[in-house]
Amino acid sequence: MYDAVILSGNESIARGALESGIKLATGYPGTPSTEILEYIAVNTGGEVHAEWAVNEKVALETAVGASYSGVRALCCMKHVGVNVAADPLVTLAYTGVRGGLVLVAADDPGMHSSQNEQDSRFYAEFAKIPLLEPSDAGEARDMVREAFILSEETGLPVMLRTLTRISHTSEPIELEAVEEQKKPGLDVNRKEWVMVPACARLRHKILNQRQEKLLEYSDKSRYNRVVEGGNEVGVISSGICFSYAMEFHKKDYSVLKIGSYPLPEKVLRNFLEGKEEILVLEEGEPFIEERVRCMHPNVKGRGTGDIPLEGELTPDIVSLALGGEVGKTRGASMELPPRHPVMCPGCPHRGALYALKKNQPSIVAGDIGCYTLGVQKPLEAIDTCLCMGASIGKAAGLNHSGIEGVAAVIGESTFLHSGITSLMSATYNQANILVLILDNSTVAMTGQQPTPATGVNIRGNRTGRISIEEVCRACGVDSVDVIDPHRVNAMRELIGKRLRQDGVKVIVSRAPCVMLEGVVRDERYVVGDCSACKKCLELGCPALDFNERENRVVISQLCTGCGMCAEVCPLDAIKKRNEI
Amino acid sequence: MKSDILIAGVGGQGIMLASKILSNAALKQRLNVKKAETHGMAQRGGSVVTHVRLSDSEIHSPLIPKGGVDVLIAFEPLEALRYLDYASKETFIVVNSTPIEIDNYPGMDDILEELEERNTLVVDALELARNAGNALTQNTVLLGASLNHLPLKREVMEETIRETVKRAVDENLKAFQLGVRA
Repeated sequence: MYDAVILSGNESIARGALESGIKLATGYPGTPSTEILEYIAVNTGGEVHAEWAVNEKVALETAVGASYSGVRALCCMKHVGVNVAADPLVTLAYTGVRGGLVLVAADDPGMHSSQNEQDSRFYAEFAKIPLLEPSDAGEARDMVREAFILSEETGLPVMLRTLTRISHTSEPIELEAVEEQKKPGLDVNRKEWVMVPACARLRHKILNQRQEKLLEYSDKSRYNRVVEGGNEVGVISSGICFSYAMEFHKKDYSVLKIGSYPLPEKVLRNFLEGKEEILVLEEGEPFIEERVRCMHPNVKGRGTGDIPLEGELTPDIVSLALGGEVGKTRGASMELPPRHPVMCPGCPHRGALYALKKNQPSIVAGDIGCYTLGVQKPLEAIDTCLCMGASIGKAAGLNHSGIEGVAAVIGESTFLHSGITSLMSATYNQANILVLILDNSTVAMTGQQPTPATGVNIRGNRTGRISIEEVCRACGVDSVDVIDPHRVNAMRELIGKRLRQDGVKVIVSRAPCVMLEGVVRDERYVVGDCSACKKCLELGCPALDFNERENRVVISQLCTGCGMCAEVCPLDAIKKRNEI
Repeated sequence: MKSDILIAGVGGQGIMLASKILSNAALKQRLNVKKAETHGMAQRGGSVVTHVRLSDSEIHSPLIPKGGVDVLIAFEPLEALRYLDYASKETFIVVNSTPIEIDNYPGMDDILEELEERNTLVVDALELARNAGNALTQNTVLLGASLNHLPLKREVMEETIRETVKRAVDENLKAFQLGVRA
């Protein structure tokens, strides 16, 4: 291992794909999956086409195109992205693939950065495709390589389920040689690829006939294996939970590691034989547990309440479930205030949300992005958050129900991802809503990935820049304004004018993310004669604080010089440092 | 030999870089390494924790079980308290005395009193980082201050810092040295 490099689970997945000789890698940014494509883009000399698609559905369809040509393709997304890609996924199992196609679904148990903790294994079962689930970064690399082979042998897309704790755990990995890419070539078979009912009926049958082979593969797979121990208690574990089971393993119980799905029936029967008690350790839903319950009378796990049904498992929870002792340690004796993530100092969204809130919209339908953090005090400017692109549809529905003064807030990347269709629907159906598109020219929350509106792609190539305002006009919006949210007062006035006008009105709030290079100006602000009115504190900027003793606002070194506090100060008391 | 290190702090303090230096140095010394990080949402000024496990034998869980931490490196005093249940009486705690204030922040005297009941070294990392020539090198100051309790050699750490840090390399090396003497 000493020619090894330290790679995260995501980087290992990327490495596995590169070693498999992929020709195309696509996906949409989303924690915890983002770094897979970033690694590929940086570590390929151009022989692999890497790209950010505008959404996960497009990503999977692009990968399908590559696979139909006979080359290998990787497609990456977070768990909720699979919902977006579900339409092509389920029927792709009917058409089948040519070149190996691996779909990486990154689940986020515990919701570190997500809106739900859905379990991707149900999708693989639903679509009747094989799924591999690694238990550490090294295995992730090996499994990706195997997944491409399996995909080509079965003619099906293969899902690789990773977890936050796999994707974001790093360990030394020994790199292996990169396989030669397959040559593209067309061999069009319409009966396979055109899913009109007559063909789909045939392909459904073929998919069902393939299931037995999948089961056989799982029963023989080296990723489903037993670590011997006592025969009374059997622990069945998958993913990261295998490492927790092994952390406390003293040969007192046997461990069955599940890494290949559909669940291997023979392996399970052999393992269950003679055991008095079975404990199932898995992230997500009691997926294995419920299927094993039909095979054994005494199965414990998340479904029985022996382990919490929600949230992420930890070594401590597993230790307790195994009858061990959680470290009898003492935490802090005082109560600690929580430290939530916040919008960064200098974030342009802050001015836009402040200006919106000051106009008292009846409700603000929110979306997915950094601006969702505007739900917190003192802004409290977001009233709903459901899924990518949902804001405009929700706003229209609220308005069609009789609510006036409805606003939607959506970032430009989310708008391109799945907001355009809802905007068309809103204009076509004559909604009266204000749509605020926050254009910071990047996917900020996941670490500043470029978008079609940025004018540069993941490979660093200059591209045409898609104009958000032109897109809006093409969708039938007559009232499109563009404003810099640093002009907080002007923006407040503009929103006031547009909020209760008839029709769909779009305001594009445009200023780059403060995390992008070269955006932070070295012009910090200071407070002069403060009247303690605290108006600036309503912005909720982490750089602003009220000093009770001196009865005045102070600006900390976190200040990036955005100047929004100076804009809203009624006394003009906040100035650039060099102006005082 | 095993060394379980927990690094706690606030998003944006350079915790990922510090854990990267630790794991790269461990690899140079041919130790096994597992490093579990928080990415994404928590980075936006939220509470952040990274688990780094080093060992000469196989490492299973990337997360350290509660009570099992050998060295707790806290980049911020309140964040040291937040992860105190990962520590035991034997845990060596290095804590930066510079707070990053939030609403209802506890009194600093109370925080330090609670920490000093333990095996704790309080370091003014901000002051030392400024002395090193760059306030952003607090993370390397704290690595230096932990060095005596880590299975990592000083020269290996210095070599790793040189290779891993992209900006202000000399300042980071100086910061590390000031940390070692703290």
